[in-house]
Amino acid sequence: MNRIELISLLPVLVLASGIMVLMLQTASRRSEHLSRWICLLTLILSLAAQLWHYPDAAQPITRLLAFEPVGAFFGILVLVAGVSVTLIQGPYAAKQREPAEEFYLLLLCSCLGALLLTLASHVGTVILSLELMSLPFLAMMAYNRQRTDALEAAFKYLILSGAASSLLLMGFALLYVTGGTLELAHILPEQPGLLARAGLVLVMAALAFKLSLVPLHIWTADVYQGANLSATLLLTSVSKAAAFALLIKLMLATPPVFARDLYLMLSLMAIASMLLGNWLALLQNSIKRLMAYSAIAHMGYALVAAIVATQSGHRLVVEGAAYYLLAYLIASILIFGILALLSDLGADADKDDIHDVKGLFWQHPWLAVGLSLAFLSLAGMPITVGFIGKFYLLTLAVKSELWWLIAAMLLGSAVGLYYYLRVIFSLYAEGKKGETAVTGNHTSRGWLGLMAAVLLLLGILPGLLGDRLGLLLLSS
Amino acid sequence: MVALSLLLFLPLILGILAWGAERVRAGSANYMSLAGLGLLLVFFLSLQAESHLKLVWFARFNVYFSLYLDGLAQLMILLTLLLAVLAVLVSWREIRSNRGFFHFNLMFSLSGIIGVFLARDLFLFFLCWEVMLLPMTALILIWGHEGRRYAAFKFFIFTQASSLLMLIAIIGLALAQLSASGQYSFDMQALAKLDLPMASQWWLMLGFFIAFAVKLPCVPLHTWLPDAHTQAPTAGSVLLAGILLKTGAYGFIRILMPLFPEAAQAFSPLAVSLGVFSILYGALMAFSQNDFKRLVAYSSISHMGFILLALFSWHPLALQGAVLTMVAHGISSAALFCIAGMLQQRLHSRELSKMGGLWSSAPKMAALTLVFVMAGIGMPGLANFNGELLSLLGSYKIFPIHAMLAALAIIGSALYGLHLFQRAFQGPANQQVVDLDKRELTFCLLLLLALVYFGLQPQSLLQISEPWLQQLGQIATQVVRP
Repeated sequence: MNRIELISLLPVLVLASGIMVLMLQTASRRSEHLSRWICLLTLILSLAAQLWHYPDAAQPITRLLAFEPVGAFFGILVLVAGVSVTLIQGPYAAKQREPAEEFYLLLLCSCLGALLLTLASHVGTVILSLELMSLPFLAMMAYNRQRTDALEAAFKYLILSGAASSLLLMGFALLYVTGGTLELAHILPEQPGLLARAGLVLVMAALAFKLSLVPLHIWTADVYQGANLSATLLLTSVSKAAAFALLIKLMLATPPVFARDLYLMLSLMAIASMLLGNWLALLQNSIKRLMAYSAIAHMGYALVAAIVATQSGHRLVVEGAAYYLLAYLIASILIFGILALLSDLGADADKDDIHDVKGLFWQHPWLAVGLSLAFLSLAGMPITVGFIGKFYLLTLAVKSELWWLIAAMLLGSAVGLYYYLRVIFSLYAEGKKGETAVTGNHTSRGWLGLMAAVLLLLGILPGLLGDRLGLLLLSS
Repeated sequence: MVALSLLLFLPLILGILAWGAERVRAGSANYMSLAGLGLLLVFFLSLQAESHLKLVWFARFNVYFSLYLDGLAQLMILLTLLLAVLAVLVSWREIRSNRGFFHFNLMFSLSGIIGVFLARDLFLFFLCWEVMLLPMTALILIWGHEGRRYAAFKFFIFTQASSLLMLIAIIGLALAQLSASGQYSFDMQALAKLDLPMASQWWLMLGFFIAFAVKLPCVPLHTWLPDAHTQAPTAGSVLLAGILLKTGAYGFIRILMPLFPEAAQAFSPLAVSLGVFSILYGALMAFSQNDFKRLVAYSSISHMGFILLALFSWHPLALQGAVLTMVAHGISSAALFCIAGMLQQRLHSRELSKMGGLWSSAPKMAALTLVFVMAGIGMPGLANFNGELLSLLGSYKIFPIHAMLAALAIIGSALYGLHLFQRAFQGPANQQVVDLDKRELTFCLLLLLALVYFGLQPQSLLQISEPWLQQLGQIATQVVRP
């Protein structure tokens, strides 16, 4: 391993050493405050390292990792999500009874797993990092043991995620049998038999589980609802961004013989996810459940980019996927962040019912405006970043003439408007009497304000990022 | 001409200022908005026509921040600003809660509407098209009447869902330009030169048509309108009926017809039939209403049918008629909604059956209402007459049967108009109301003046909008009628 490779691995190394420091600190002197700042510092340093040494071409680091632009972009998303969770966790968990330091440890481990996943170029790394990312989730989900829902959610996730991992292993094993290689770029054989096809289906199923795509979506709603807000935010941002990075890289490397099979399978999954996700979200009163179904639908939209990737390696594909995921991430951070400001981890349940936020605008206008912006962005209204993401995807779909997918997207978006609007409308309804308590310090509020500003800025001036995205993502 | 972009941003800034002013001192938002609109009006009149602005906006897709002010846009923006003044005046006392936020929404929607009229780039056009929706929905939702939640939902979902189709069509056009010239383009002028095969032109046209037909509205897609207009606060109704509906018509004139002349020609028999159906259906439904605002709302559907009929017959006379109707209906329906709002404020009801005999207690209001109703019916000498006459004259030459049916509907409009007036103001006096105060009298008289002026002097409107209509006429002659 030479010096350049070490520098390229800097974000990962920073995270790993941050974990060490945090462990030592927790062992010697417990202090929630200190742990939070160590965690934040680690993530920010890692983010800085990632930004400072951004790859301009694919560059292998041993056989296990590859330092390349698409992965690096998704790595940034992962780290931004990690920073957000760290910032909202402090005030959110202030009144709970469990020891607070371990949460940050678990968070860093999970981020490390996700970051490695974005770098993975080998099946071994994929499996290791996927588990490193997922296992800490379990503990984070059930962090407040008094909440029975949380235990249920963690248990569900444990069993189903275990099943998904075994599918992944089996799938890669089958592919290895036919191809004889474990490198991701070549794992799909040029001349596939039945065995290889079966392997691919299993691998896709495991990824579909992580991305909560129909028909492997069933766990989503219960887990989102049961888990606490920080864990849910991690699940919806870190885990999805990392898994999607893997998916898009796999799809871009698909040999043409697989294209038709994949096209059919992914299209059906995408259409089903868009329609079912939006449909089931319609009557949810819990915002967390609503976000779970909306996540299903949004991953269905994002899958369109992956489908186009199997057809043609057009440069717009990666840009579209990246922009869309970014938009989804920002909106999720805002929504879960603001809900966390209203809730308390020590209480029996989070304040995520639609009635809990009724009339919020008349009491806390800024929070309500932030929530409205985030939901409008998810609905794809112009002047928010969500619209630009949707614009990219629609352009991709129209360009590839995927009319069925477009029809499902339109129908899904139209249905989606209703439930996003339902939440927004209740924010502006005549509220219940009595003040809604809000926690949060200046840093967490400032961070959410920054997210809202970015959401608007990238929506109004899409060129700021959009014009450069091509340079960022495609190796010259 | 960076000044042009101020036209877009100034209302928004003024709205924020008005919101802030209300926080400092209750009641100041009214004055702030009024002064701001006055300023905006002066600024707008100082701008010359034919000015344009083009800035790079989103280079990846070759999107420009491109504005263009020509006669037609000038006309529509002038109408917008004047009706906005009216909206502020009419809600002077009506809005009591959260007045600052109300004015912010009002001004924000103005920004979007002006953007729609100015945009020369389809991306920008779409953005403004959507943005004007948000504050309008807020106006209905927060300050509307009893069924406001449902109405706001319906309004938002109808317009949003239909505009998604337009978005697909816009992207389709940009991609067609990409395959023709190797570069994306959203510029209307560039896209108008694009030579598309009939099949794709047809589908793309349909996407735009549905979006504009929902806004106009044309009958199978109209059901949001009676709810939205009825439930909106008066200022909202004024803006909705006065301007928002016209953005649909404007879209036809500015985008659909120049961009897809062949497909639009081929589609015209169906479009014209829909227009005539809207005219008849709107009149019939208006006649059977018992709610003052709902009646006026259905009459709007009927009048908008004339515009559809006129536009898609592509006759030069009819096109002029359409533009005249746009302006005239903007004024007359806004006036009627103002009356409805003032009545609601006094009686706390819009039910016609609870009114009756109001003439005795409010003669000034009654007399003015009579004139506004007459304008709606299309009495010669008032603005609407010219528009409807020219529309019918022009379309008769192309679609005689349709024009005859549409002409029949004028009888219908007399029926529902007089029915409205009779039930509200004549007969035995059920109720006593306070007559118009000075503020109300002022803006009603101004509206009356506008109706009479444009009734006697339609040429001024035609002159302003002539260059663009001529261009449309030329396009029409180039296309062989199938």
